[in-house]
Amino acid sequence: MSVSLIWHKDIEEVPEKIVMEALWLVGQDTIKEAMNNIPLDTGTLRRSGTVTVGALPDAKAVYAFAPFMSTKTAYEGMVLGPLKVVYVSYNTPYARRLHEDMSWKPRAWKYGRRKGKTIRIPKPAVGGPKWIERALPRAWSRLPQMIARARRKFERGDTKGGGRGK
Amino acid sequence: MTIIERLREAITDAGIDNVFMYRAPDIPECVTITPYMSSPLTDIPMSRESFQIAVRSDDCTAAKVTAWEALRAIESAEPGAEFHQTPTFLGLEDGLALFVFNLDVIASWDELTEER
Repeated sequence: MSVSLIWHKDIEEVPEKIVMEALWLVGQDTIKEAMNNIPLDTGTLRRSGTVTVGALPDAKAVYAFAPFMSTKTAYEGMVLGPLKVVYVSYNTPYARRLHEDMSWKPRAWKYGRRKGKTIRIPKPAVGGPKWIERALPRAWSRLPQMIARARRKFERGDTKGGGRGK
Repeated sequence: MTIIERLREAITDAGIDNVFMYRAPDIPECVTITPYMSSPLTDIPMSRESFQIAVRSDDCTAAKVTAWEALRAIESAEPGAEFHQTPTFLGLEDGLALFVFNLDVIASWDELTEER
């Protein structure tokens, strides 16, 4: 099996804490970029997108919150493990299936309730598989801008940290 | 020969039957190769082509074994292929077990012109 190693010469001089902060910002950007490509029914899957540093989040805990609120920045400022890795994850039991199943098609119509009356409302067919992979190249291409943004945050002495911890 | 045809040939040469490109007929045991993304490399005229290999069977163990055989066949036929993961169980689909894995193949523009 081959191993792919990409060496970013332009960032080799950048301090690690700035790189980690920039990666966290790229992760947030990936979630934003992917949003319109994620299958939509109740929105739980979209809200379960989370960026974490060091380890994957507790999927059950994120899934419990996702029906009510976005968990995009739920782990901001936390370092969950020793690995110098930033994870973008969607934390519902069906996320893996929907992300990988190439034959899945969104439902075209939905029955809903409006003012206590059951009506048939047109729902555009939205979303499809591979939303993270499709969003990543564009988000990744903004890494230099994110490094500049992370550097400015540190220069300002901003105490709120995404990828570097508090 | 296009990249997807090369992948199909690699899998069939390993002795796996019912290998289909793009979509599969409604049969219980088959392997499907689906291209799903193309990302151009920024600095050279080449591109990263992504494929998904899906294996389904009414026997979960058989599906897993076939998926691993397909992975090893592609690994030896395409030394530059980058695998995203090992065969992953996606669940049951109409009572059939489904295993998938994804890979990238770096292609030159000549190959892409031929592909399209």
